[in-house]
Amino acid sequence: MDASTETDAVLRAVRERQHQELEARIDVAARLDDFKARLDTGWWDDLQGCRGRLITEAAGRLSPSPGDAAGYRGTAERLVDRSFREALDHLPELHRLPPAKREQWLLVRTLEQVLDEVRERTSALIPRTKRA
Amino acid sequence: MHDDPRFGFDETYLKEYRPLVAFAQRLGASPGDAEDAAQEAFLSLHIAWSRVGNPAGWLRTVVAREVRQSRRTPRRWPLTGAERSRHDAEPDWRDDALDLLRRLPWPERAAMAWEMDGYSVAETAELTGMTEVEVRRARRRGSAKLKRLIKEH
Repeated sequence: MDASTETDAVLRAVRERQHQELEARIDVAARLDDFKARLDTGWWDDLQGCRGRLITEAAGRLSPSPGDAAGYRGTAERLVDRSFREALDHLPELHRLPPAKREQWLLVRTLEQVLDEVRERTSALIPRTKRA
Repeated sequence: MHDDPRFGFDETYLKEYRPLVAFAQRLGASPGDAEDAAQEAFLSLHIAWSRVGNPAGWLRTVVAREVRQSRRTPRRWPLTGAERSRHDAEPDWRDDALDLLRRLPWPERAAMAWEMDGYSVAETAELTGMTEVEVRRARRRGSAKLKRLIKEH
């Protein structure tokens, strides 16, 4: 048996051993019942409540002057939606945080997006300024 | 969106729970941590269900991130009391082989864990954010290091 085949055989054996061990140790139906009994997604629903505040904050940061913030709500909504989509990839991490920290996590992500948006707009303006 | 609405969350849980725990253990999680990571991943999936097109891949991505965040360096598998008794009573070289796998550096260990679950280079790259070149390199290096560890063992 060459070394590569030998390694493949070892990995196959590890997989088989894990399968046997977990089959014997874990009652999946019982785990699912336990999961459902303890299922709490209310914190995620609660987090949706801060969406409006985040949009207002983002629009205010995007606007060059406070009076123009309303004109930036569409962009702000898009950025906040993106933050929430990003949050879906980090749910276990968010779940462990206290509620105020979860909102803070989303605020930081949103402000990072605002900063990127402002940078893009600023860099798009530079060539036109040079031409003028 | 999920391709087949008849294939629901419960079915995914029943089908994927044990393989997901096995995946977490290959990445270096203890049995208890592996189950915690799997339960957290299913909680996330429950929330994100309508947006996730590939639940099995998505669950592994969440678990890999969890394990990586909780363990920066590979550690030996701390067995629980009951598992220790069984391990001592029925020593199995395959437990040592799992331990060898978990001595690999993270990218190599992760690439091999995905490979062991049947994911192609392209699928692994898409799900982990690595490039295909990086996945191939990690698999090649991981395999070479594992061969060396097996010989030394």
